[in-house]
Amino acid sequence: MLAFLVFLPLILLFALAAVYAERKVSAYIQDRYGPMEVGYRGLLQTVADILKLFLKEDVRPSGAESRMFRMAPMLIFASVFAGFAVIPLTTDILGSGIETGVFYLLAIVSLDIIGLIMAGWGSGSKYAVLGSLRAIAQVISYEIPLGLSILSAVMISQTMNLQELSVLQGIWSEETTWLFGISALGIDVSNVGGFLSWNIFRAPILIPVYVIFFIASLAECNRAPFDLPEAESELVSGYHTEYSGFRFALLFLAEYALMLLVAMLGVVLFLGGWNTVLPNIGPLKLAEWTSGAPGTLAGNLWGAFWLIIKSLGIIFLQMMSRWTYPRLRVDQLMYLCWKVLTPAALILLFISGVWRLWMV
Amino acid sequence: MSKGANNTYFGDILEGITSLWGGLKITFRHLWNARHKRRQIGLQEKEYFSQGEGVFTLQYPFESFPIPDNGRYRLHNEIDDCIVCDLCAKICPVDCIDIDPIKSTEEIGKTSDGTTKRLYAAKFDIDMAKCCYCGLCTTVCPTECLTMTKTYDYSEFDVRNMVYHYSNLSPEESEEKKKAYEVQMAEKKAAKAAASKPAAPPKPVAKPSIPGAKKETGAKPVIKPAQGEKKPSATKPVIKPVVKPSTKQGDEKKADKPSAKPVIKPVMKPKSSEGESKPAPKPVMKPVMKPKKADGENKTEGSGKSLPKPVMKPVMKPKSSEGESKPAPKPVMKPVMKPKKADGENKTEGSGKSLPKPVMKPVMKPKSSEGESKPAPKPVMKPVMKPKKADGENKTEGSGKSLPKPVMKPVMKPKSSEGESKPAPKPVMKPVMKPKKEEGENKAEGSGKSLPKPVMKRPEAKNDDVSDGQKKDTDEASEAKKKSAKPIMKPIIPKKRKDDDQ
Repeated sequence: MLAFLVFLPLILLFALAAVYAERKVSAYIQDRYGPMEVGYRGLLQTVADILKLFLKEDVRPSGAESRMFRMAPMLIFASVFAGFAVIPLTTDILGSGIETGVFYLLAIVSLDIIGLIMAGWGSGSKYAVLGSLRAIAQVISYEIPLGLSILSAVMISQTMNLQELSVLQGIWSEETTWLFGISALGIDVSNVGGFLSWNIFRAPILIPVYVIFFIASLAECNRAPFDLPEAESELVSGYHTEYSGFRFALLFLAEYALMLLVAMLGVVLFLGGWNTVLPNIGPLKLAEWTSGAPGTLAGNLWGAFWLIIKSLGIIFLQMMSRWTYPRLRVDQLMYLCWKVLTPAALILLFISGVWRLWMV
Repeated sequence: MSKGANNTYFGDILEGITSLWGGLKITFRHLWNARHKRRQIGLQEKEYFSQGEGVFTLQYPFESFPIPDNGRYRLHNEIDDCIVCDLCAKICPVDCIDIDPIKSTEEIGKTSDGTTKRLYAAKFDIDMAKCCYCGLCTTVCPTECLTMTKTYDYSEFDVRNMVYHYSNLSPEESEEKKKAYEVQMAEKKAAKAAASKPAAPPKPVAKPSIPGAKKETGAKPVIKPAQGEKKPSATKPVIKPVVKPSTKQGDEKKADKPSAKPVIKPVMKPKSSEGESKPAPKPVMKPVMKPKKADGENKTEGSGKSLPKPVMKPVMKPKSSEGESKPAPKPVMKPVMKPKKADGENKTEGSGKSLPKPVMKPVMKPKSSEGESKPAPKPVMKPVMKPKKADGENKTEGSGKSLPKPVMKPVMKPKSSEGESKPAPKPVMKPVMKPKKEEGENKAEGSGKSLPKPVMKRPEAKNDDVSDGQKKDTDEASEAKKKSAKPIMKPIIPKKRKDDDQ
């Protein structure tokens, strides 16, 4: 319950902040200012936007399948929000500590596709249908490299419980952590912590795996450069063309929540979760100072802080990608998925297994 | 790795990675450089195109792009320097300037460049919503009171607010001035009647024009041939009285008449030492007079003015020291005025003067020291065109003025110091074109204009510049042009949207 009460406002605030941040980032990349008028340097712009959305009429096209049309945004948001149930924000704030957290996450996020189909089909609009068809093809395709890359991390960590995954990547880990995961070097960094105990440093093979994960997660989120489902230049707005008012706000919220979810998932799987970035350097016990003991208030605050900071960093990268790269064509999208990412993820999965057997 | 150089599977992947990384570097660089803002410098600065980095945005209401000081946007009239000559209103292609002049009983003052002001502007409105920003008005403005400023943001919610009122008279003051003028006119009339000059030009309709102070040489009515056509007015009085008032030198002065003349025009008698008088009965419409200045500059800028000619036209004969006299009997149509200059320059720019002749025409005999008299019987309506130039240059540069000629045409013999006379019998209706140009720049641009002429005559504004002896319109026109290019105001960089640089 605590996790629910924490995550819901967190998502709402994040969506507001992220829309603002996205507009600012894109503006600065393009040598513009972005929103500058509402509030100090436009800080309240998204608040004004969301208020406008709440006040707008909820228009429903006469040709729409009423029930599907109305339920789709809720289903999309609910499925995305349910994904947060297994994200360990801190040692204590965790919706559900199930052992199959990663598995659950992949499954529940896939429900998102059902919502997309309902939204597109139910709108009774060609653009919406086309957008949702593309979304299905894209999301289902990219679940494969996404799943394989997650599997690599799971293999290295030998658990699907996200909380355990997080604990393993810090100074509180039970396991011995060798520098770069190579026990032959004989350097024990178990008590150093910091970034050296993260998965990508415990097993550097996970660095390319994380790149694959990141690319696949972009596609899962329907974000540029994989935003074919919402291609504004081709389809008016993809599957949420016909939505307005609060339903549109929900869809928008779900999109940003999904961004946050995949960013957090990546952080938990590869980047140390709620563990600190700073290592203990000799007498400077930076890792301990910036971690707090698990279970204490300080520990929870530090944990939430680090997880959110890292996630925002990843989201910043997502935004940079969006405003840097052009949209892929459908054939390029499929080529990338099936001929590049999937083979690479399979090979890396194999290497990860070997790594786990022989190196650690 | 260049594009397409390696189309293998791994080559593509490698190229993809490098190009993706290159793209990210570019966007990161821009993001990083967005901490700075580009300096807002004008286009005329050398480094305008060399600023490659930083935020480009100009937050308009709070910042504004530097505008060149000679920006040509909103019109501004410095009413204190305005002589209400109406040139701007006339030349305006879209008629956005609305002027209501009031004649003054005395000289009002001087403009900053020394031009005498004799008219009040009861109304001087410029409708910037209609303005097409061609700048012609500023070009023709003799005193350069009308300029274009660099203020460009003057949007209004109500289009009526786009009309700028530059008059400095309140409605009450305007009424007062008008009354004062009427009173003066009445007095003059009374005085004139008392003077008992037998020859009173019958005045049909409207108000008498005032002979104002005229500067030395004879006032000339300006006749501007309309470019193109002249409309003969059908009604011609059969007989036209000749009035010959004799005035002493310096008696009558003619005020410049900037503008529309009342229907009846007084006879003007320029005074020459000989003191010839010329009666000029005036028909309904009155020709425009062009006062002459001592320097003898008489410019009719914007030469292509079409003056509809009144049905009857008085003949005026200005006398110059040379004493050339030109009798010009006038028929229905427009009066021919031939100003004479002391220097002997007589330019009737836009020279084609057609003098329609009435059916019966009195013979006038102007007296000049030479004592030339020219009777010119005139047939029904024949315009004579006689351009005169001091230099004797008569260029027909295709200025194309066609004057329809009436069926019968009188022969006129103008006399100029050169003594050129041109009789021009005209066939039934043949237009004579006699363009005259000075060195070719007295052109209202797009000079070949055929202006249909309205039956009523438009006022002619006359610009007198008192500059010694340069009689070349060309020079003056070019000067005017040069001057007009200067912005009066000094540039202020507006900080606010509503900032006026005035």
